[in-house]
Amino acid sequence: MKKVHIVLLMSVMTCLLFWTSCKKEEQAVAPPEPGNEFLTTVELVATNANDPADVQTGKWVKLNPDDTSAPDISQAFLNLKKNAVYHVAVSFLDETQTPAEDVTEEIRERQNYHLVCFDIAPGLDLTVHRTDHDTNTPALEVGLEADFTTGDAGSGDLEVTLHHQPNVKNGDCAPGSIDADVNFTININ
Amino acid sequence: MKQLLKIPFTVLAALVSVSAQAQHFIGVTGGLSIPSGNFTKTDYADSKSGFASGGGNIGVTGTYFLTKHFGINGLVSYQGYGFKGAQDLADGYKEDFEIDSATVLIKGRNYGINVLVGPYYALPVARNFFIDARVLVGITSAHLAGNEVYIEDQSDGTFAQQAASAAAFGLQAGLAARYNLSRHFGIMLHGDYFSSKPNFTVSNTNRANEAGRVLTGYNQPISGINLNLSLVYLF
Repeated sequence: MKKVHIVLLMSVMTCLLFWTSCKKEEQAVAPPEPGNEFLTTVELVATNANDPADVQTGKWVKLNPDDTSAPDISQAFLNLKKNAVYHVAVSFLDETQTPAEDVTEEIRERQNYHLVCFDIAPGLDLTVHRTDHDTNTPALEVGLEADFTTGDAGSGDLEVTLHHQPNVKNGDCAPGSIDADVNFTININ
Repeated sequence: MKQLLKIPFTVLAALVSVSAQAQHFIGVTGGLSIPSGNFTKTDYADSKSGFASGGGNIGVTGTYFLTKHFGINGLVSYQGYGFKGAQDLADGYKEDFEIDSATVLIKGRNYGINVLVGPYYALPVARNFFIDARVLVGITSAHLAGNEVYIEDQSDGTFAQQAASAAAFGLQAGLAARYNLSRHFGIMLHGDYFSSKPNFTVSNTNRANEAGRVLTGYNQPISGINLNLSLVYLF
């Protein structure tokens, strides 16, 4: 009887030892969810640094991002004066909702892994310098605010892209994925 | 009246007779470890959350009696805990990094190794049956599990919270019911409160950007209840 007790007890101890020693890894996946918001509209508002009354607005719109129709580029241009500096604010909207949702603030809240890039067509005498910074260490540019410096008269395309760079943002445009990719025509007169 | 006076003397005589049977002992112990408090929270947004669940413990314990009732007890034990809330971590990182999906892989486990010693009191309540009490203090070497987070949008973005270790003052106190099965063997059923507060320094790798839950330290009590069964050798 005593031996039975002892064997039983030792068996319980052995089971406990195995129980406490095993199951060293656990994995969990947060899967994709449908219904993410759209970025239907990109807006540039350019204010002349030397003439606050000189405000130019350009707007690129594609209300249904899933179809193959062309975007509305009727307002996707900026008329800028030559040899001038413009303070530019970049906005992203979701106009599939009523009222339209301004996604810009959300991007600003998540600025530590977002970057707006500006790709200037060859021949267009324009320099773009981002003026806002995130809270990374060291701080990196964001691009929701920028200075456009114009040179000689001319026209050309400015490609504006919003890059989503979760834990890979390093100041370059290359890492991550692209949330928005639009073109504006810049006219320098 | 004479009969009434006899009662305390009879009880005292009985206690003395059974206490004379008190013997030193050493044995193996094991059972459930049930943590509580912040250590068991699974709130992604709360840096106090420890994501620990119940586990088990196993060890060696022994008592050397200095008198019929008082002795010195020692305990060397391994105390492991499970992990819970990995899904909460994955959901949190997915939301914080605004990504399509996130995978969290827990690396290692939460555990502690205890080396404790302290006073022990044995109260004989019947022949071969004792109620014991102990208060143990000493060192707890604690280990905190780490994790890896895979960002599905960008494989280069994978980052990790490394497992961490720290030593701390450990306390364990409780009661036990002990029954001597024979002259040399006994079994015990313990209920003990345990507590320690290790100050972990946590390192993180490949955290390129300041976003999402980042733990650089963890200094919360690791406390709860141990429910144990012991087999002891009496000598």
